[in-house]
Amino acid sequence: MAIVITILLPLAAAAFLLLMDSRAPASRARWWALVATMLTCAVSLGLASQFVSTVNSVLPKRGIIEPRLEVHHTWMTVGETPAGEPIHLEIYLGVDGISTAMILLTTLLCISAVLVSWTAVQERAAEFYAALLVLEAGLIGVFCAFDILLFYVFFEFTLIPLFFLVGIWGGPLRRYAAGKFFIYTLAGSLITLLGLISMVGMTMQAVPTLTTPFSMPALADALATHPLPAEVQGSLFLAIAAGFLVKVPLFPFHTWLPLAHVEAPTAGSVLLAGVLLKLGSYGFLRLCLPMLPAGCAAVGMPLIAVLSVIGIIYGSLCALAQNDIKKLVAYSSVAHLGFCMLGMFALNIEGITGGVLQMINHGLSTGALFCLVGMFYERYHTRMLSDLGGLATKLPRLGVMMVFIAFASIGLPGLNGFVGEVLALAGMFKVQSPYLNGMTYAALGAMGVVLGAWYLLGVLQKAFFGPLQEPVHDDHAEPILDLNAREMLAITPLALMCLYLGLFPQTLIDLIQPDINGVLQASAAQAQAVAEQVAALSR
Amino acid sequence: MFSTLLNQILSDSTGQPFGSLQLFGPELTLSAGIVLMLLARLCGIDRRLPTHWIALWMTFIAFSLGVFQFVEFSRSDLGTVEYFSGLMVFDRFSALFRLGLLLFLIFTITLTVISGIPDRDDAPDFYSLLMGASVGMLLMGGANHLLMLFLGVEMSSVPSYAMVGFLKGRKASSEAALKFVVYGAGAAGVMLYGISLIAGLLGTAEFPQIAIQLQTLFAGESAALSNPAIRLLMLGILMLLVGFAFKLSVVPFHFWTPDVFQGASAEVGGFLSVASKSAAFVLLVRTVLAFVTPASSADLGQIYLTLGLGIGVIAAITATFGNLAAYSQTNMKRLLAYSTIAHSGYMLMAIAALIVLRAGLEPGSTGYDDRCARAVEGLLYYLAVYFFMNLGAFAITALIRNETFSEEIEDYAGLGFQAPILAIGMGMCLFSLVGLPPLGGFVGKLFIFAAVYDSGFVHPLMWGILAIGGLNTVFSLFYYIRVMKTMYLQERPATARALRVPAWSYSGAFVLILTLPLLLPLGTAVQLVSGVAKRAAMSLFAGL
Repeated sequence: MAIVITILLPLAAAAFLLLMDSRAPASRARWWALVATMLTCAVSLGLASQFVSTVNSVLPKRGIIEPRLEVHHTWMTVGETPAGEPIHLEIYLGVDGISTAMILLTTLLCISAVLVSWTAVQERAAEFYAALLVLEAGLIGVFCAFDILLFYVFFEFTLIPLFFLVGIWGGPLRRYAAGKFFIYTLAGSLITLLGLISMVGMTMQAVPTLTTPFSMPALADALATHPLPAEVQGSLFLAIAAGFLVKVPLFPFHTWLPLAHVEAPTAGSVLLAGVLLKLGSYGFLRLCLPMLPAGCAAVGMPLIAVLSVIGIIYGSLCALAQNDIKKLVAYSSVAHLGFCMLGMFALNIEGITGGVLQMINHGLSTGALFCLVGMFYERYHTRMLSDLGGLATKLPRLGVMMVFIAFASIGLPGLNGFVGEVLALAGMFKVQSPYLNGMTYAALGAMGVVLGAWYLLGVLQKAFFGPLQEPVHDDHAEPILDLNAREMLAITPLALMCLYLGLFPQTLIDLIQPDINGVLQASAAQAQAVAEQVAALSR
Repeated sequence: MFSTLLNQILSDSTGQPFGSLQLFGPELTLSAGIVLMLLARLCGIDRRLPTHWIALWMTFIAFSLGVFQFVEFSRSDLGTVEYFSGLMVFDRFSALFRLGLLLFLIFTITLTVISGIPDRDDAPDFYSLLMGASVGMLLMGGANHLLMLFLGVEMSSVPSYAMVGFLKGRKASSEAALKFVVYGAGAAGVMLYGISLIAGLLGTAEFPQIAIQLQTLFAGESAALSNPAIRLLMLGILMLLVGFAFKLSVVPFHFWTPDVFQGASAEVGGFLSVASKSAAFVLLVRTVLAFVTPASSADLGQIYLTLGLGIGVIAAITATFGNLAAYSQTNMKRLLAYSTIAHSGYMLMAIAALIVLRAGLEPGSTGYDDRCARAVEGLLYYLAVYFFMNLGAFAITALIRNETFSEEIEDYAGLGFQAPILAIGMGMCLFSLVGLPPLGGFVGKLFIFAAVYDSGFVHPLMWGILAIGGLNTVFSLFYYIRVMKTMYLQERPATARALRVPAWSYSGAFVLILTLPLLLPLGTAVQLVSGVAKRAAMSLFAGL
């Protein structure tokens, strides 16, 4: 039940905001939105604790994907299986460790997103917060969906509110950015849909008794005993990966991202970087690794490793060349998600754990960075590095926060970024596959850490230290003040989480470990099934 | 003598006296409504009682009759009932279509009342034409004879010509009507020629007889294309298909569509785009099933398979052309016309899948009827969704025109905030037309594409057509989203007249009623609608 409430609560709040009298002051919408996001966060915390308490109940046998707290409801029946049973599409919601972590991240970032747009959004505030809440509901839905079609529905649905967030409340190029982002990601994910449906169709041919082939756990279990041929897995992987590659985004599919980030309002950037990009890597983790392990090993690992390493280095170099801080952070996202994907496609326990940690860590630190960029943009109406200098003396609180978050993002030991990057690189380092030499890629990836330190420290040095330099602004009469309580409230939880996860990463690792083990089971089970088939044939 | 003849004509195939008239009740009610409206003007009653009340009430009575028949028929175990001595057929399929069409007519009349398109003097004429065309479409839905097919097509077309030209003062409207008439007359002529060829060759024009006649005609003879009789038959079928292609505005018979839709008022456009298309699709399904039967010989099956693949290719071309041509449009009605062409293409893919499955699968193989029925079910589901999303788009175009006096897309700038209910409704319709989840269009496309995917096991070319269909979804996104961008991302010019359309007005409520069903796939409604569609589709196959 808690799951349904977590999804419906933001939706209901959004409907309420839209139906509110349009002449009501904007502050009322803000407060309602804040209350709604906080309530959602509280419910998601309850959900998490409920989940943790169910984990201890020992299962006789763990499936490859094992959601708890499930909600099943037949959505529609489409056609028939080869055995003549109707195929059930379900409204199948649930959570496992990974999705619990992602839901907590989403609900936490949404509070910050509401707080940072407090004064930045003056026009059409009710609509703005409604779109934000709808987006939150969609994101939570993606993480809760365990039916492939339902997953896809939520996955696409998130585009609509974000399209409006970027297109209405964005920067000068917002219309172009919104259109490009929408069409780019939708085109990719349609290929994903075709791939997913073909995967399900082929599984159904192989396992005629499967009546819920769209349910992820059932599909993964069926494929574990009846794996698809390796070359089929490879081509299916390519099709399914299309949408996720765009979403992550990996080089060369990243071109929509800097544009969308720069043009989006602060809250949009926070959620875009913090959660939306993770939908891609989450999709890989849910739909590629457990279902198509042979395809991932043969096609995915070499392809993704190359693209991630290029993304890490190219993204970092691009970030280094930027004058606009927001664009710099956007390119740093490309690099950071390169680490995430590099780890995930090491296809071993260290790598995947590192990848998932990196998903959470990047969400926290980049979300916070975008918040901070938004805060000083609101003060100076510029984000150009060349206009700024020595702000730490004038705005000490902003300076401290910026330094702290930048260090977390660089991956300083003791802060969260470090753990994820180290595990991801360690996982890649261990890879001994006929398709690629893991050590080389890990070494190349590690260069990205150095580059990351370079560009982020460059920002700190130029904008926050050295002689004070402020942009000329004559229309701006009111004095420039340091962060106020609201802004501190927006940024502090994120900073605290960065510190906590840096010091005690085991909390998070314990939460996600069983699910990663499950994913790894899949490849072992499929390999065993193939070996049995070969043995049976030779006999 | 005369009374025996009358009895024979009026009893249905179950032998019930006057059964035909009962089954024909809704059509008779509509016809009575037409007479009433014209008489009311004669006596001057229309001065006191607005004509649209008569139209609305008579349609409502017809709809209730339809519901009653549908429920009654669902309870009985009758598969199909033929009436009017075999000219018409009544089964769940036609009963469902009839319900949908009458409901659509109620919506259309309500829309015209809200938007006030026929003025008081013209109302009797307009509603007579509207209801007359609907009677023709109902005939198309129940046709069981090639002659009724032609009669239905003509009876629905002729009033449509007049409705298109109904905006009498406007040149564009008259031009559109003229184009429509010329094209329509040409297509009807070709179709009639095809019908006479087929009837002459087979010696029958009754649908159930066609398959039997084909069998006896080619018994012991090769049914390959070298046989001149087969060539004649194919010529007839192709000519028949030309008539359908005109009705469905399938490339290359689509040229009339953009001009007609732009010239006609949006209300008429919506009616033509949904009602006329769905009637033609329903009739096409019946015709296809009359010709392509499990009993077809192997040679003939091969020809049908080729024909089905050809239709699939044409469907893919139609969808692609419609979507690409829509991209550069600046007029909303013209854009919707091209989108209508594209959607005809999608739906034609289901027909192609039906033919390919029916002709290519081994008759009697497991799930033979089921797999064919699923293509029809997908088509019916799509039509049900199309009802709401396309009528919604046209209705909102009409309501916006009433406020801003413009149908140009650029004049929609900033409507998102001035008329939120219209803009949100339009957004839902357009996103649903794209096929974006979680809206109804997504599920509809899913059903159709599932059938096409299934037919790919018969011939892999269908998978290519499926891929083109998927690609088209991306093409279509560009132009639909342009409308949304104009409404939401552009400011309304300061000189433009401010408009207020509150949610709690007739227009607002109408838009809400039309667009909310698009959200229903979130719940259990998919199951409900697809179940009804499935039973209706199965009833076509049970008797064969």
